Amino acid sequence: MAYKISAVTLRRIFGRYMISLSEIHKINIYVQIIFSYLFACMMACATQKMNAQVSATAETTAKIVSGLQITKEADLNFGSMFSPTSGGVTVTVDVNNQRAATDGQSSDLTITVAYN
Amino acid sequence: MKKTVFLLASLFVMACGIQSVKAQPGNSASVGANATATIVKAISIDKVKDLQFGKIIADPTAAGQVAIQLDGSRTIAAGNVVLFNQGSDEQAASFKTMGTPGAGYYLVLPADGSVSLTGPTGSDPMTIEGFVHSATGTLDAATGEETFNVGATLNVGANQAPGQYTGTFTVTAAYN
Repeated sequence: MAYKISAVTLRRIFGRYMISLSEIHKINIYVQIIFSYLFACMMACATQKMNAQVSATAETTAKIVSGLQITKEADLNFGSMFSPTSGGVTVTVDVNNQRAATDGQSSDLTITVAYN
Repeated sequence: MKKTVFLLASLFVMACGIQSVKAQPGNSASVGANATATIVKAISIDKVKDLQFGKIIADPTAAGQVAIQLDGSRTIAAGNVVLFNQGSDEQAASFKTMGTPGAGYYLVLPADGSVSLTGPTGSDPMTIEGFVHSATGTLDAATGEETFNVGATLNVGANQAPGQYTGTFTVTAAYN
């Protein structure tokens, strides 16, 4: 980055001081030093700002799973039965659709009656 | 132009001043001074663990929120979502900052809604908000390191489509 001021310009500026070629050369050296210093300062500031922050990236995940669903295929039907004459009777239907009376009075279920 | 003239004039005066000082033999003095500089270790940050919200069942009609706490546990923050725990792999994210021992630093976490998780084709993305961290902001005086966790809250839409959702987020660290 060379920034020079021409001898014509400098002589125009310092015309009445009879500026010499060596002085013009010196002035240009000073000018270049100043501009180099300013440029270096600007670069240093810019670099500091760039280096001031650091980052790291992580992955984030989630899994949406389907909610459990259920639909009815068949109703539960205990079938037809007689009411016990006394006490209670437990009637069960197992997963194989087999019906049973688990109570001791289940024999009541087997009493056969007939309409007249 | 005026500025250039002023600059050059100032240079000229300074140069003359320096020459004048040098031109006074027998009237000079000098003193020594130490110049020191300390190069400190630049701060750096590494990811240790990703942020995982685990398995979730979305409500068919209402939106909900799932939060990952700093200790890695998860809770329902809002709505009617269900946390499905079978084979769920939820965890808080974890990062490690490294630098000059004892130095103070700060973190920058993503803004609310700026991070999205994208899922299967045609599904709506899910946004994340409420990022939190467990960092103390001071690197360990001996090791110059600090490991901290990051949690956040996931927004699950009503009837959110089943599938795997993924996204990324960035944590930034800098010296105070």
